[in-house]
Amino acid sequence: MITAVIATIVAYILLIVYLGFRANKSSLDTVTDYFLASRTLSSKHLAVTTFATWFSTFAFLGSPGFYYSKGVAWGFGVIFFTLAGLFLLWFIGRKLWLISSQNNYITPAELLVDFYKNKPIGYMVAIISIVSLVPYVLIQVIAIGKVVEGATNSIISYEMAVITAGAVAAFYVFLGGMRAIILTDWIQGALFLAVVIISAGIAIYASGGLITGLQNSVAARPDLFVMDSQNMGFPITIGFSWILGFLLLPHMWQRTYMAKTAKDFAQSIYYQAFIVSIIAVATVIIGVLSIGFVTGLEDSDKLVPTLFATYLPWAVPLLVLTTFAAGMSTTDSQLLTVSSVFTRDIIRPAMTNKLNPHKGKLLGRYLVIVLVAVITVLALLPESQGPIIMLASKGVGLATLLLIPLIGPLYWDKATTSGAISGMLTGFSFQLAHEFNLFEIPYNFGSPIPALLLGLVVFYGVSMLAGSSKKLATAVN
Amino acid sequence: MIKDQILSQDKELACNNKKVAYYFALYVAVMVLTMVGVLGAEGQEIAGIPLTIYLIFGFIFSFLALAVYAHKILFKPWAEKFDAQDNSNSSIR
Repeated sequence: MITAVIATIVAYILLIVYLGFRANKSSLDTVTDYFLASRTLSSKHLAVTTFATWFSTFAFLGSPGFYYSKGVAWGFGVIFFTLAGLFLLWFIGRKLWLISSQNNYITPAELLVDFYKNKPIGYMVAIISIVSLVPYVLIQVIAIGKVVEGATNSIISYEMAVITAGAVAAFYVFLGGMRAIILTDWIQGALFLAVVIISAGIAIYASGGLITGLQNSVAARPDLFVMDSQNMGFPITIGFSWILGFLLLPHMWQRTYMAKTAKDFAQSIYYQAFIVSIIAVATVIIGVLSIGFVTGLEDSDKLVPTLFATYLPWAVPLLVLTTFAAGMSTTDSQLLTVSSVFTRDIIRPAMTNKLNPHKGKLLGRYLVIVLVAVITVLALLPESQGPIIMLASKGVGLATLLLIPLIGPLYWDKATTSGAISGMLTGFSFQLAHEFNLFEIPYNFGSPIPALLLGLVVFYGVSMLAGSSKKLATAVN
Repeated sequence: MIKDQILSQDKELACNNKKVAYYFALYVAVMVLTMVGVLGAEGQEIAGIPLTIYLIFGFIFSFLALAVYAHKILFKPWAEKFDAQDNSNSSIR
């Protein structure tokens, strides 16, 4: 079994390295090609890369475990963020695609700097982008290390797995940039979908069929099938912040820039609707049916591995590989996005000489290597894991604050820079104060929703005030 | 402000855009109401299956139905029109 796990991972690594070389052959020597595949994605490529990037290990290990341990009521938050974010692609993403294709934006900050005609807002958005993504990359790498170490009985150590994953990701992202990521996303997405469907099949088989299994689950734990109105704040917080994160996390935002034509953009939403619906149905089936026949499982993240180990042991290498691949498919995109943010939003504006496309691409490539090195070192520090995992879960909440400045270019011409900056700072301060337990929010709500609402109020108020004082100054003069 | 010239010019598509927005808002509102316990908090069952199970699958399939509907009346015709015009009039502020 262990030999099979190692052989599968080695074969997978060889395949994605080959794809990295292939992507490198077809790539152009421009910064837009390196970061956005020259905005030439077809609907199928766009749908697959968005899906594979969005769904990390949480979607197939965490969410069925969520239903299993916390019940159907808590699962609504997961369903909510799995599905509803897609419509934001139409209402917000479409506008981002429209404007980015005409103005050659690569990062979220570039669009906002152009609208507000203000550089500091670009730096602020860049910092939010990096702070929301770096810990997120880190937990994916840590998860890969732990899963591989566990599955190979420490024959491949945590350190070895982390270094290998980092080196492989750095290699193919360095070679082929976004083109390599898209090619590898096809394999990673297919593995992901296969494992979710196989797991649902195992759950149906092991529970004695859909209806019987459901009845057994209800009989075993009726409390898990009742809505818990006292603690609904938590799933609602998860649902809303991840829906917004689906679009506002910088690596997802950048995907709205990549469609070749309007048809490709619109069709990709349609394809994704089917893919996410399959995942949503399958994860509910896995989690809910398992309540009736899997007993005594303390760590709910181990539900799917337990199903595989018990009912389909020969397929365990596939599960380990999928965990590895799911982590990689999120990590590679986030690395490339952080590299683009450094290149375009931090280094480029500070340079006196213009960065030509070739040098921009070169800088982006080397930054990927530097970032992987930093992430790998952090992942190897035992003391960094605890607090950073906690921080990562806050990353999505932080990214939701990017909606505040985005309201301007999307819907409101009266938005001002001072309004956008004060709105983001207010939201950030609220999240920080809540993090340090300075106050509590009732019904188990997290801070992202109230922080965003408060930030929007401040954004509106300050923008109106700034607009009025500008008018007054013009009238006096 | 980013303007979508196709939706600005085509009244039927603009109307369909509003329709989809309303249906989506309704979908979100019903889901949030369910999450705060307006539905399914009493442990009701239909034919021995908890109401929450019907709700959760109902939300998934109604999402898919809404996506297919939106694609038919809005996404697809918008994209066809946009590509046909090769629209290059969108502007930022």
